[in-house]
Amino acid sequence: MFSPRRWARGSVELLDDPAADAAAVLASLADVSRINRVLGGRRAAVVRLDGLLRAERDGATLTLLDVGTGLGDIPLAAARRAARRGIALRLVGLEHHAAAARAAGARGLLALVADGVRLPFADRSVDYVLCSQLLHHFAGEAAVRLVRELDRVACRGVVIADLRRSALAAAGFYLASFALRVEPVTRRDGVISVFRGFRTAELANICRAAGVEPVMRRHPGYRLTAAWRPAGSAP
Amino acid sequence: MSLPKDLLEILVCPKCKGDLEYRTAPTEELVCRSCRLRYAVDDGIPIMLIDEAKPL
Repeated sequence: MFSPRRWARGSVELLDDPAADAAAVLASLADVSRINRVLGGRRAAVVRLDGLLRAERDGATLTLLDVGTGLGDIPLAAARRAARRGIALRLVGLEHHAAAARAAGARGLLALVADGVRLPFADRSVDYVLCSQLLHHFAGEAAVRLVRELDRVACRGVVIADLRRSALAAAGFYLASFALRVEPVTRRDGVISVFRGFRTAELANICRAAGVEPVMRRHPGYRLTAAWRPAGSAP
Repeated sequence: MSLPKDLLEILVCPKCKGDLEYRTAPTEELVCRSCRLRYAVDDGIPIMLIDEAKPL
């Protein structure tokens, strides 16, 4: 019997391919950025991070590492929101695609190319870590390793934002993608991404397998976030 | 020096998590002496991928 989830797990998205053409990657990421802005992905990540930042003092300067930053639009939105609280975020954007890292760097992030499961950062070296719409690209033990790495490098908080798997969400995205005029490959990859997404308990279990206890939250647009404070962290 | 100090302070080798040495000549790169690997810095972007690192 056909299983959309099995089909999605066996498919390869353009952004999964480290050797993908740079122009195609940038076009796809521009689509993803627009989709996140319109369909709730950006808002879910920014609102959840903002919830953690409420505990910080006015005037603080904090580092935010965004793992899988794409064009850097989500951390930039987070920085704008934090600034309204009087908090300055120094943004570090990590990408697997060099073209995307360059684009994020051009927008003011400290950008680098690296692998999410082998983060080139010292233990507890950044204040907050955000990982938005990336985890569904990893399966099994690799997903657990990614979460373990996010927790290792953060000293104050971690937010994972991703897609909530649903046939209705996939259908809704497919229809919305025409109005959003995205590239055909983005339409296909978006549907794959939704079916690679998580149920709330699945994402929580990946976090627990990595040794952390997340607080889970659902958001509009079939979005899901997991957030936690690393062990021994302040505040 | 093109890499910002606050980025250099937190970067480590992705393989051993050890300290890196920042070199600007003859080419800009980050060196892990323990792993004997050199990570390129391309137009100000560190390429911290083990598979793309060059032997020291």
